[in-house]
Amino acid sequence: MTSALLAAAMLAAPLWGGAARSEGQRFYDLGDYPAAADWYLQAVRAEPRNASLHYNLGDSLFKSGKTGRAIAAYERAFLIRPRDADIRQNLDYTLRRAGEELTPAGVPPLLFQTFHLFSERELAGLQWLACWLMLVLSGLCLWRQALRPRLLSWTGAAATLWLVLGGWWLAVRGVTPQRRGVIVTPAAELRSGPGENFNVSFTIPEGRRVQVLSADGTWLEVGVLKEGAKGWLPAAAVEEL
Amino acid sequence: MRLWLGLALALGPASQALGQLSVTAEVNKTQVALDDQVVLAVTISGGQASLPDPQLPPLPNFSVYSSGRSQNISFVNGRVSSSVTHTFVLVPRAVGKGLIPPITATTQGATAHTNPIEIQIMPPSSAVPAAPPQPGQAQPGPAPGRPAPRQHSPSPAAAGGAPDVLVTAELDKSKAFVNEQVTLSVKFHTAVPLMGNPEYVPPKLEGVLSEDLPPLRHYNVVIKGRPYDVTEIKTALFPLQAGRLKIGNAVVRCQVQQGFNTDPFSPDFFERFFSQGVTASQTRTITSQPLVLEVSPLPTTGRPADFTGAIGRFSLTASVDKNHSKVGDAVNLTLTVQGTGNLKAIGEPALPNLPSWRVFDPVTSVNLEKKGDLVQGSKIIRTVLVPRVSGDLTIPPIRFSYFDPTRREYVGVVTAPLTVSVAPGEPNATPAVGYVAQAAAMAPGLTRVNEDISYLQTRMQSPLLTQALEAVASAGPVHAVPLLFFFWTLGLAFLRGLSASDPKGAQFRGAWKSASIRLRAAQKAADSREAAGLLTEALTGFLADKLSEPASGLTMRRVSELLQMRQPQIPAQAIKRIRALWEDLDSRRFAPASGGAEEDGAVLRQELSDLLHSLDKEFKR
Repeated sequence: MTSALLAAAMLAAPLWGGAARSEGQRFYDLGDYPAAADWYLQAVRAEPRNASLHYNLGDSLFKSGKTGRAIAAYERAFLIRPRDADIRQNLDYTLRRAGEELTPAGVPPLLFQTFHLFSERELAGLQWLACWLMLVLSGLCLWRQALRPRLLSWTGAAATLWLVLGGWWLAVRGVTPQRRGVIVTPAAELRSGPGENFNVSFTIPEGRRVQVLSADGTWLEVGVLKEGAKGWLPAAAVEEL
Repeated sequence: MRLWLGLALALGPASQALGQLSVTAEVNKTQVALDDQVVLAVTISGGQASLPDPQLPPLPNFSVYSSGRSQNISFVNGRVSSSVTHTFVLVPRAVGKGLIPPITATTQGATAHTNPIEIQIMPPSSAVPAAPPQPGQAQPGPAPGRPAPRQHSPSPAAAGGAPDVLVTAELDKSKAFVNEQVTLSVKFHTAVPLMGNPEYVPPKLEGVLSEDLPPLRHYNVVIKGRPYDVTEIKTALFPLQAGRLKIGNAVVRCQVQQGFNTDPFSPDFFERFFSQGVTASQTRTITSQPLVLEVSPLPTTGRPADFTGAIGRFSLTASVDKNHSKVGDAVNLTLTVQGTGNLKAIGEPALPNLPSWRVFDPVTSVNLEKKGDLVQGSKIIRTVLVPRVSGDLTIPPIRFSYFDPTRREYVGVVTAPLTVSVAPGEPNATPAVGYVAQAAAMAPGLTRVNEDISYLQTRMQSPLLTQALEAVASAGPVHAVPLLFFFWTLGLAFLRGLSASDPKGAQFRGAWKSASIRLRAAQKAADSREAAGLLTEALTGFLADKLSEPASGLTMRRVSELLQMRQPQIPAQAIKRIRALWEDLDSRRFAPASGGAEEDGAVLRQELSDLLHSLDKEFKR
């Protein structure tokens, strides 16, 4: 019974998501951005791997004045489809309003774009494909000795490709903190401990990206990626990605 | 109201060859008493915002004092025209004809000059005939503030020790803020007639900006019972930095009349009378006391971000020259800062961000007036704005902050917002005159009016590549398939290598497999004789592989010997069965075919299969 309901929900999700995104666009065009954001939020829940829905949610939130939540939505869209020019443009634009930039300082933009040509999941798929190819070609070389002279170079190329793609994948995973978040309240106060009784060390503007280091009840220990500072924030001030 | 006698020796426009630069000079009177003064106004005009200063020629008959300048800039059809009027006060030094030679102005290789002006200098206290009055102009009377001529005391000693001449200097305040006006008054007292005009050396001023405060004041005072004629010169000072500011001495050199005190009965009376006359003169140099001014810095608390250094009391107004325009048509925004203070030193109010407008560099003019001993006037900032988009465009309130020294606090003033209705422009319309150069420089490229996020994405489907790669990444157990294939082939390769290194062992291990192949082939044989042949090959091949003997020439006798010798664990019964089957197969191979051979062949094949299978197990023991 449960599995039947789950299957029905999975089948119905795209239909519901389609209706929600239509409503979202309608309200967006009417200028009712909060209502558009509500509809796109429902659409995103139905199709969490749809980068366009995250992007549209980001647009609606930004127009509603919620810069921090908009950046979180654009970040999710960027994680799924980093090659998309619109997603990059809007993420960079909103990040600049929060005092950051999509391309870190000192990194050539072309290098950054190349590094993020594929999403982490796309790179995982690519390196698996290269791995498969290498294993099959190696097996053929072992199985049919007559094919070995012809397949050996291809096998070497596949192995090299696998190493490159695997290294790339690991590098992307390495530079992307596993727990990240975005400040969603204006001028959040970063304290030296998990509670109001600790002193305020910094204030962080809305939209600034942080790394979540640990949690203690309703408080999160975060590190500010750009400045390298760390401290404690109420969990409500951060939207985790 | 300035009392111009209209005898403007307007000297005609300067040569057309000099472009638009022209110089005119005017005086308020052409006849002046020795103890009076003439105001000379030199106006330089041209078609540029920056105009040169006039070059005054030497004026030996006059003492010249600068009395400030005022500038006017006007825009007509986008063209700039400006004029600067420099005012000078001329105090005559000697009776006679005073000539003002041509005054020149030079800029960018162009020179313009005025015609000379002749002024008749009359003896002091002589009635100067009034110039013909201008229509509608009042008949000029005695100079305002000018005291009636007074009979000087003939003897300085008669006044109880009061000097004949005296110079004092004083400030209207001893403490001030940076850039706050402080008025310096230098008063020249004289109780005796002067021979000619005195020479005035103003005090040395460092760390201040100064503005003359004309006109000279003349009045009478009594000091220690002795009447004096006083000439007062006022100067507005604006300290540039905080600290103790020293103001030097004011110096006056004058020729003082000395009484004729020669004894009429002395032998040289006539000689001295004809050499000196009735009176004699004496040169006196008198100085004032130095002054000190305490200058305080401006308070930092409460200083607005838009504060640009204005000290005094000001108001700010904003206006546009049109409320309806088109995209690409210029609109002139005029900001007027008006009030009391050093207008030359104040910065321009910062315009708010105007993304819908193209904003050109402002042109600034300062109009100074000096009323009530205060420097005041207005600073006008004109900015050309060109609308980039159509619609009702609003220029937000513009803020200006100044420091009020009397209230000792910062004050902010804000203009009202201005709205201009902008209609869509004509396609390929020519930009308005006045900003052609800037517009042309920007014409070929795009002009960013406003930055905003990109619109929604309507194509929701992810690219096929993304879908495929994400599916591969999520494949889970499928990743094991290529790995299993690889290990299978690896095993095969291992076995193949093993066979190559031990061929007899490989034959031994593969004996049953080879026999099985032959048994299956016998099942498909065309007749019983062929089947018997294949079964025989299966039997002999199996035994040859197991015993490492060549199959050809292998006899049952040899097999029995080898089995008993190498494989003693094989029971004798099994060897008997081998022999029986061997013989049976030989008979079938070489005997004529008989009925029911197929059924017997199947039984025989099964029997052989069972035998070989059991032998295989026995061999492996």
